[in-house]
Amino acid sequence: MTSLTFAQIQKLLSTVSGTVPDSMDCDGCFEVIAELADAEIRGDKLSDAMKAAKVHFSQCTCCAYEYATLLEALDEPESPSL
Amino acid sequence: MQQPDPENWVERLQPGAVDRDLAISELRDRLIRATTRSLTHRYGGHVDVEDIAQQAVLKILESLGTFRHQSRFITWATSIAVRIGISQLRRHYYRDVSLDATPGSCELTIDIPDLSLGAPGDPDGRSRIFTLLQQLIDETLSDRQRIAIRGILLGLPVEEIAMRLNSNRNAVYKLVHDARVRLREGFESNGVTAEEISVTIS
Ligand SMILES: [Zn+2]
Repeated sequence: MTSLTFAQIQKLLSTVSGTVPDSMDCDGCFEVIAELADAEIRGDKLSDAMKAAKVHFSQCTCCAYEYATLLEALDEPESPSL
Repeated sequence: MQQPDPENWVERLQPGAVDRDLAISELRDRLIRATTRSLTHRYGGHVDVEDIAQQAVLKILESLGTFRHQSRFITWATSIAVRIGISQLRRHYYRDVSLDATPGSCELTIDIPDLSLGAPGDPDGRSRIFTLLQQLIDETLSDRQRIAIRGILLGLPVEEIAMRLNSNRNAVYKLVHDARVRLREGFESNGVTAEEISVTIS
């Protein structure tokens, strides 16, 4: 039997209370992650698919983490302007 | 909107292109720099960036036909390298974390201890919510959902849970998200709002 710690209960309840409908899955999110990164770097208006990916990030810490990593990877000092 | 490819990556990487080897070498170098910058300080940093870049280049060449020109080529290529690299880092980092996934075993029960006494805040409200959470976990979640939730609470990424459950990332994400929705709906149908839960755990 797994007995949860208070911190784990807090984490679970916080996740549950922050749950919203998510129209995307992780693969769908990966499909738009590159265009979302470019759009955000340029400050462009986001498409519906990009907005859906942002909602997915709020529900999926793995994809959110990968996106943050991608932005860091793209932050090349000498990269040409978009 | 179609994005321009000023560095002509797609054309230069096509089989038979005149400077394909040079383009591959340039791409590899770009990916090594990108992964060095973004991966080596994550999950303990056990990553061979040259190997990641090599794997990514192979995957990129194989998937060139699926590139839709909706982003810069290099952004798309970097997203592939980052995903490969993070998967590898996670696999290494969580290799010793086990997730008992034997269906039907009592290990699937999540027991919520009564922590209402001695903690700050409203003990009655907290006790009620904890009791209800326990009931909802027991009555509304499947065995696989309980295992997956336990994995999340252990800090395991979805893809690691998927590997241990012989499943895939999408399926486990959906399994966990559905479990969260069930728990949330369970609270709501018992008159407990998300706001109330937030206040209780703050
Ligand atoms: Zn995801």
